[in-house]
Amino acid sequence: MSSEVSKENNASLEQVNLIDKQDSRFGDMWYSFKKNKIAVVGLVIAIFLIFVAIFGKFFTPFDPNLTEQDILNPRPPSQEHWFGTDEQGRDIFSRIINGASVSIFVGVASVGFSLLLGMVLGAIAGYYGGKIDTIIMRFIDIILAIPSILLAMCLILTLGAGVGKIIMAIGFISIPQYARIIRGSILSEKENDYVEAARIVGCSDFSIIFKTILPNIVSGIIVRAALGISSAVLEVAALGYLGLGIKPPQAEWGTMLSESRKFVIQAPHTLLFPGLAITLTVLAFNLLGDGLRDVLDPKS
Amino acid sequence: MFSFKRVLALGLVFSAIGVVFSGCWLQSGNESGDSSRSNTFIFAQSSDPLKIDPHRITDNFSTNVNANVYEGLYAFEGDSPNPVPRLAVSYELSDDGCVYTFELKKGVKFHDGSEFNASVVKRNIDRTLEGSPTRTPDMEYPRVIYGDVSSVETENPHEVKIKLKKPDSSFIAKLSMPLGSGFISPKSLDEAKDNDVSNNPIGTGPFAVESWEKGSCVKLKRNENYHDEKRKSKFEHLVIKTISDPAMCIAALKNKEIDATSIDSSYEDVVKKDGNKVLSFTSYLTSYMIFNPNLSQEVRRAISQSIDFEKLVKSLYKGKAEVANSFLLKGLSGYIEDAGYPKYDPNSAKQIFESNKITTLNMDAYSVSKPYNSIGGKALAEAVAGELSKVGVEVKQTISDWPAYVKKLGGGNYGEIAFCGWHADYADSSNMLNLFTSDNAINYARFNNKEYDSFLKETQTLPFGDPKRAQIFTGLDKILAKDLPIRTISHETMLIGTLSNVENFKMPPVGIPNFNEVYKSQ
Amino acid sequence: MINYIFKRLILLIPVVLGVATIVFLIMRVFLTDPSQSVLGKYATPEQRIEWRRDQGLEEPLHIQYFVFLKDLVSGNFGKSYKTNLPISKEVFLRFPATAELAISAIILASLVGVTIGVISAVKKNSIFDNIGSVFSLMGVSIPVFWLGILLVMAFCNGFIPTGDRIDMLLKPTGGTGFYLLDALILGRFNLFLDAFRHLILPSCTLAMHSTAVIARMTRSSVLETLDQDYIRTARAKGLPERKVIIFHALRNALIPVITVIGLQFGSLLAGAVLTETIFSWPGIGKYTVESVQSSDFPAVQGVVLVVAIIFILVNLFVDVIYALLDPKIKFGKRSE
Repeated sequence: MSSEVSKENNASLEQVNLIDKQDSRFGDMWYSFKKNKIAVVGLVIAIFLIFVAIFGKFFTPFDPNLTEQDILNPRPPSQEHWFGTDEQGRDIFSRIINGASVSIFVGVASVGFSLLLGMVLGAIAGYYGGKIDTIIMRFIDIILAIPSILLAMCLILTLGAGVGKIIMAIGFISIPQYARIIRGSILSEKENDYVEAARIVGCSDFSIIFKTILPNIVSGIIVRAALGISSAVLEVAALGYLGLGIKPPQAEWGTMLSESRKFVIQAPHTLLFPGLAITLTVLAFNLLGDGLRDVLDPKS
Repeated sequence: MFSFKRVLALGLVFSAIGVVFSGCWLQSGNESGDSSRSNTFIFAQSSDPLKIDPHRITDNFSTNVNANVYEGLYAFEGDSPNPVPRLAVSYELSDDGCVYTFELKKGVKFHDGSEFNASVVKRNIDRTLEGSPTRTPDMEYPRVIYGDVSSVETENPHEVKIKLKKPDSSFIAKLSMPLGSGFISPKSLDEAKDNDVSNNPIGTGPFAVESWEKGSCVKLKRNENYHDEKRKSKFEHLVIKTISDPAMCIAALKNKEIDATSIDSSYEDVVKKDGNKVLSFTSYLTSYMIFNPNLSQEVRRAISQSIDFEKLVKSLYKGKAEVANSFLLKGLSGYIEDAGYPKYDPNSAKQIFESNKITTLNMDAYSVSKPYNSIGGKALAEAVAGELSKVGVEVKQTISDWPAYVKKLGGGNYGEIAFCGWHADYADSSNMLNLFTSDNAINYARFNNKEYDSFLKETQTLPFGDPKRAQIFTGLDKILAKDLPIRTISHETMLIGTLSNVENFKMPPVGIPNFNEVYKSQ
Repeated sequence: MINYIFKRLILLIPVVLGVATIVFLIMRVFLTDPSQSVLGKYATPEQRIEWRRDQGLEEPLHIQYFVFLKDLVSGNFGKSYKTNLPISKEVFLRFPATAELAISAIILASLVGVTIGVISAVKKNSIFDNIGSVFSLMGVSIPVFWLGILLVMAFCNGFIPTGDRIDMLLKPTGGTGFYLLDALILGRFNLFLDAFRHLILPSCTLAMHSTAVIARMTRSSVLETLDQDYIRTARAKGLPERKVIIFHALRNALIPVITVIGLQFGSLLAGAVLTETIFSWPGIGKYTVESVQSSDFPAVQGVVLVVAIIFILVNLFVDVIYALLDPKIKFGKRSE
């Protein structure tokens, strides 16, 4: 949009008119976002899922971990159990809701983890350059060279079980992409006059990076983050499927899928609902990410 | 880049036609190829065999292949616990019980034509003995069999004299173990690279290895010159396939891609509904709880009393396992149904816990599923913990993966309660009761009872079928129930799913199927 | 150009070293004791320690690392704890299976993905485009392992088998290990068909994600190209639309797509882990999972190293092809 272009060319004006600029920019963004219907759908579903993740566990019709004795096989969906039960008598609907909070929490937390570490590494590499840059980038290359699922498996086995460890393992895999964005951005902005000016005035390196360079890449990061949540949810489920994820009896969609393998022939509903839940969640954040990309970062 | 899109579209159309076309073609192809499928028996298991070397295997998946390729002096057949002669015809035992003289079967040839004789026996046994240059650390099962062998003498080609360091009446039963006891052709041993005969596995068994596709299957063919006409295989080919996912295994059975596979109790109904058979075999499996040696007799009794094992086993295993009120099993010498463990009495338990001021207990368990515990350690631990909580005791569970768990048990670093299990490898009660002798390194319960030790030792000196031996075994089982180093939980059966036309599938209680007697009716 | 390739290959060495080190650390420092599965249930704690000593696992860590590096440099990837075979042999035996699967999947994904992408772009915002978008989105959102099981439940019958690569009765001995190829060489049509029908479901499952990625990339690339000035010029000159698309647009639009295809191929080779497990496909993905589960350190190390090297080489290959095709790229100045 032409108004945006003229704004970016006046770096100093930017800093003076910071507040005004943000307001109208946001308004522009929201307008174009709304036009992309699919993205809005994604946003709505994502908000719904986050809502379920945070508040859902107070409204489950049954205790998700309540097992029944003397139950032979999973029970199909009925009026009492909307999604049926698994082979231990636990209500699947409640477990799906409970699983939402785990998946989304792990998704968001691992993105946060990779974002944080990635930004720090990328910023140091980009800003200081030279040998530090080379070392850090080689390290990034090494992480990229190992296929993500293998790396995740090895990390989990190293770190052990537990939600925190899983967050770290999944987060670790995505560090490279954030590191690269930050580094690339810093490299291109580093030579700008206003950075030089800030340094002369005496601003610390830290504030230079934060206040001047980062705002320009926020949009790229937001897009990556939304998409990152969706791939993190998939990774958690994949690890759960391989038996390396969140341990039972905590409900988690991937683990539920792996447990349902036994009954997939006689009780397909145990396979259907966790899979649908994963697909829906990943879809929602993908839609959201795509929509955001169309709006914020159309060049990438 | 000429008409790129067109090329793409054509490509898609072509592939679609190809798929449809090949479908029709293949169906007609299948009918004519049917004769070779009907001549083959296909068994599926969930892991690949590791080696085809009878002395160096330690797992069931490898044994399933090995036991049909190699043979030993004796073997187990059907559910009978009595060993039957295989490559030996008969034996004589010296008066001191230490020298076994075996008369070997004549006219037996290996798959490569070499002759089976006494020097072959000696060479095979010597390969595994302590101190031999060809011994490797994974020759654990031969160590169980031949560990006490002091010498092997071969005066004439059809007679072998094995001298033991001390008497052991279960020696014949040990020789019947499918693991560790097979004989390898001398030519194969000569050519073995790295002391592993898997590349050229030559035995005397009813099947010879044709090819081994790593990760996929082992293809075997019938030994036409097998030394026992009656036991020759009905099938020309045997394939032992690896299907890692159990649900896929069941689907393969449904599609008639395989003939038999071992199944979990949860699949029993599905397999039956598909029109196939489910066979149930007794096996020498015992799952049990061990108590920390520091725990007092009274508390052990209380823990036993607080659990309704009958109900627990029924709800956890749903008919696939029976509650175990004794360590031994039906078919083993000295078996009694009730060894005298404390009966279910939650009130008494509650009182004992209260008077001892016990409100929490620590429990260690393994995570995976085991042959003696198909639902997995975690589920079992949770069920037991649930029972204990009903009498007011909170249980703190620590679940570890198997190697870490074994390390804990070995080092004695486990809580008040832990779980174990045992699958007997040969049909003698000593293999099960040996677990609790004070000098046994895998006596994780650290049971130390001199009387128990000496009684068990006595059984080794008595002849194999002596009724006194059975009496002693019964007595030992009762000692376990009285002193409570453990509490037995369940005996699982093994389930095999087969196609409806599969007949005569045999699996002895040691858990390794014999494929030479199975056949398919039309 | 040669310089560039050479430089990249040199850079490969420290990266591979880094990968090896990370895997070494993970395996040796933290992972559990493999002696349990190797020695069986009768083994005493003393025997286990003795076995560990034999394998060099009781040495101090830096000595283990040194031995590890020394072996690696001489091409010795170690021996599997379980089977005692050299890891290079174990991987070599299983590699054709994974390669065949990955190649079929990438061909399928490229054909279908590019077609969908091109048509979606050309008929932007039509029904086809919308359906295509939905399909692409589903493709990246459906978990691979779920899809695999669903496909098996839906389509498996006598014709389409539930797993493995081939009917063992028809299997050729020797040969390249690529059954489709072997069948063509031997001229055995029924073998070819058998291998083909075993490949269908696994390749479709594996290809789903890549198809979606390629379709999206193609669509956006074609759209961007169609927006360019030279296209407008071609149209203004009076060329028929079809010729505009095929001769001018596609040639340039497909360049980034080829990059994506290459990268996807790399990740397929590396990541077929889940698909192979579901379909019991005897490749290196399944081997990795089994080795991790049984703590077979040398196997895990060997597989991860091999896969990493392949991955890096494929990426290098893709970069070179991209640079060759795109006249705008000059060597030496690469922006990240």
